[in-house]
Amino acid sequence: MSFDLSLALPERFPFFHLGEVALELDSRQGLADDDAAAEDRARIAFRLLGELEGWLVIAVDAAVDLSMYSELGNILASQLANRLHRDQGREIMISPPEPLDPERWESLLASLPEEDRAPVRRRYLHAHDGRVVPVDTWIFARDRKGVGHA
Amino acid sequence: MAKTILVVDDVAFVRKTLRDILTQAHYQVVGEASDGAEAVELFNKLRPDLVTMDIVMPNVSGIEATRRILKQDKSARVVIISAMGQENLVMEAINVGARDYILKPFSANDVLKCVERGLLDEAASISRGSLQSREPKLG
Repeated sequence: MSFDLSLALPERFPFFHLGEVALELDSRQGLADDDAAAEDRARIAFRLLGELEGWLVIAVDAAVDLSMYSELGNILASQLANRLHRDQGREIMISPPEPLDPERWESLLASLPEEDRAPVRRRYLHAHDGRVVPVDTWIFARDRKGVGHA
Repeated sequence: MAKTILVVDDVAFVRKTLRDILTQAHYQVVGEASDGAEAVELFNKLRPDLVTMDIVMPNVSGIEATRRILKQDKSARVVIISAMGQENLVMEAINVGARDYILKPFSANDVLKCVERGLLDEAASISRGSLQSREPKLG
């Protein structure tokens, strides 16, 4: 990737009437452990399509409202696409959310070309009603700007 | 008589949030759809005063659903509520006949103003400037 994809992620945003989501500052260095495969985590994926191709995947505690966090992931993925369009003129669409069970998570990782398996990793913190929910985010993506696509 | 609204979004949390906002403001939410195909079907069945439409959905997208609804009923009123805010998408929504467009994450006030604009007798003018003023502030 010829540019730093993580710079296109928002640092913080309000989440409807449910508090605020903010990037955990320490996670700028990348998550220390990849715990996306843990059984107590729920993973939700968004395909990135167009001049950036790949996946944005979030992982949250499996006990939370997964519909709510699907939308949080949708906003993150959309913000990534919006910012890359605004700042670099990239045409990117995203898919609706896709839940990933552990088997599908492994299958997604195995399907990635070797050079795409080092993701951008960041942790967001959703603070609401006295509670903080970590939202771990992985972006596996390949630059397709200038390459013909549908 | 309360204006009737069809809420379209593939995520249940968003449909519930919109339903709560609209109901509290004394609109009548007469139906919910989770994809564009269902949206067209329910529009034909329920003939709501207004449709709130997401863009990124399975099966049929919100822009295509808007196109199909307006092809069947030129007087239909559709407003777009989406997290995707790229100018080309906004223009496409305008071109297919959407009356307004707001971005997620939205506030209750954002939604209600959008619905009010959508229900105006004349089509709202969605200029780039007016869209920017409706964008949520993001860090």
